[in-house]
Amino acid sequence: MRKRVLAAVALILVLAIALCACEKGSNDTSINPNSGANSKDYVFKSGSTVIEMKADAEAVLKALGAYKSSYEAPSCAFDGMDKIYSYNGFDLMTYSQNGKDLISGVVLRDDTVETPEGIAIGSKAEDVKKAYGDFEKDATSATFKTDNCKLLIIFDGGVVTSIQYIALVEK
Amino acid sequence: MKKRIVKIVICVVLLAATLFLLQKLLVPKYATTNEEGILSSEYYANAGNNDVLFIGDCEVYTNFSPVKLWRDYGITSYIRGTPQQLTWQSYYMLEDTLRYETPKVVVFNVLAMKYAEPQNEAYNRLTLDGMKWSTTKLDAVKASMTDEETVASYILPLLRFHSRWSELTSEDFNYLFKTEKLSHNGYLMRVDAKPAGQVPDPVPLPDYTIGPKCWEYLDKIRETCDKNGIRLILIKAPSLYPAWYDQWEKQIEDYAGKYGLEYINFLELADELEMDYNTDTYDAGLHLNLSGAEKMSAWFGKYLSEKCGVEDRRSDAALAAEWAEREAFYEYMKEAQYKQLREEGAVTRYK
Repeated sequence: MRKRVLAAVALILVLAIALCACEKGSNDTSINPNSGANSKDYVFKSGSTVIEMKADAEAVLKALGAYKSSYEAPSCAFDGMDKIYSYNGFDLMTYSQNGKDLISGVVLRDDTVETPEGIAIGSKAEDVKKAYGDFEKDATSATFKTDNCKLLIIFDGGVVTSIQYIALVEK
Repeated sequence: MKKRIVKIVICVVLLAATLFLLQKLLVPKYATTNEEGILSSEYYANAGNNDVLFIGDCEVYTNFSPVKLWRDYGITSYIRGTPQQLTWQSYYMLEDTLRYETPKVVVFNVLAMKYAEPQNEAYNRLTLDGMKWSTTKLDAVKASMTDEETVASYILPLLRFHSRWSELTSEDFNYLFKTEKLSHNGYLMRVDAKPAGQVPDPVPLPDYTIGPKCWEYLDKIRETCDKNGIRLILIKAPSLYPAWYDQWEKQIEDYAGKYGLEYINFLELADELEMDYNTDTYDAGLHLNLSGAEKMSAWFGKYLSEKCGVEDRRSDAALAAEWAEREAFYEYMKEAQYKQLREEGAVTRYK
């Protein structure tokens, strides 16, 4: 009897330890909705500053210099703050992860700036095809994806009306 | 034989008790961080006698004050709002509420109509883990899960959180068996202010069409309200950010028109509400603070009272006693936060 009780207790303890001992991995228990890693992708350039999605924002902000305005949007429940910095011709967005601000997006706001591939607001759909590749005829938007970046281009009547670099971040 | 059965029973009970304790220890407590995770479960202690039910995301639980509605109009209400509550989750919150009571008016905030699909587990957990188990919760889980989630992890959260052992803090032990009241019938109070300043221009979208799953569940909300004789009011809270696009507004207006529903866009009523985005928001225009929420409630209480005929129940002695306790907690939290502002310069905790 005593041996069996001991065996049962041992079994429970082993089970408990087994349950607790799993390390974080594919079963990540983090309750932070943001995650991701850096890699080479479509980039936006402002002067000599290269802006890569998911890159550390601190160095980019320093290189870009003074912004026109900024806005901070806290998460509804979790730690961290999404930030938006407005510069001449474009907005830069960041998100926070593990205490660091990372680049989450760039939105081109007017035709004073263009992508490194030469596309700006006002460009023609045909020029976009030449620069980035084919997409559906008469499409109102085209998306070009790389590992970490989605380049979204929106058209109206075959003319580019919006260009957005969006970091591919797990929601 | 009998002895053997007793031993087996003892082993099973011991195993179940161990797993129960482990689960209690390892699941997030939402006591001092991500406190919004408590909102969902707080309802059950306050179920019953609520004439008005708010469902939706943060734009309901930060923007309306049930205590103000009671004080000024004698209206009883509860906010079953949770962070990033998706349209299907709002439907199941309504269905869950109907297991306990039938409100006269349901108020649904339409911002979540922008999310066509489940978004992320972290927010799902804040809404779903606190719901009591029922077929409604099971359906809510199934409708909400992202590809990586499993129903089993909601039935037995230990499966999801078992490796949290290395992240345990004193909070996990202090709140192993207890929770502390956080909300005021679902309202999450903040008294501090942060001026809205310059809100960024909206980012153009490739497609403004509201997703079919959202319409499907808005239909379910509407049909359930019809079936239960509940008046459904659609609202858009006066939050300046994130953007509420004209194209979305048109689709909601068309839906409301098609089914004869009331739709109030509080963004358009900012002047009438006397909303001051320098003093009435605690995070630059996303959420209203106490001052803003009380302005909203003063306006909406009048609307509920005069247009919807929601009864003034202040003459009910038993109800008045319950609400007196709620008012006391409201005043206590308000003072605690003002004290933080005075002494620490910021509100860093709710109480």
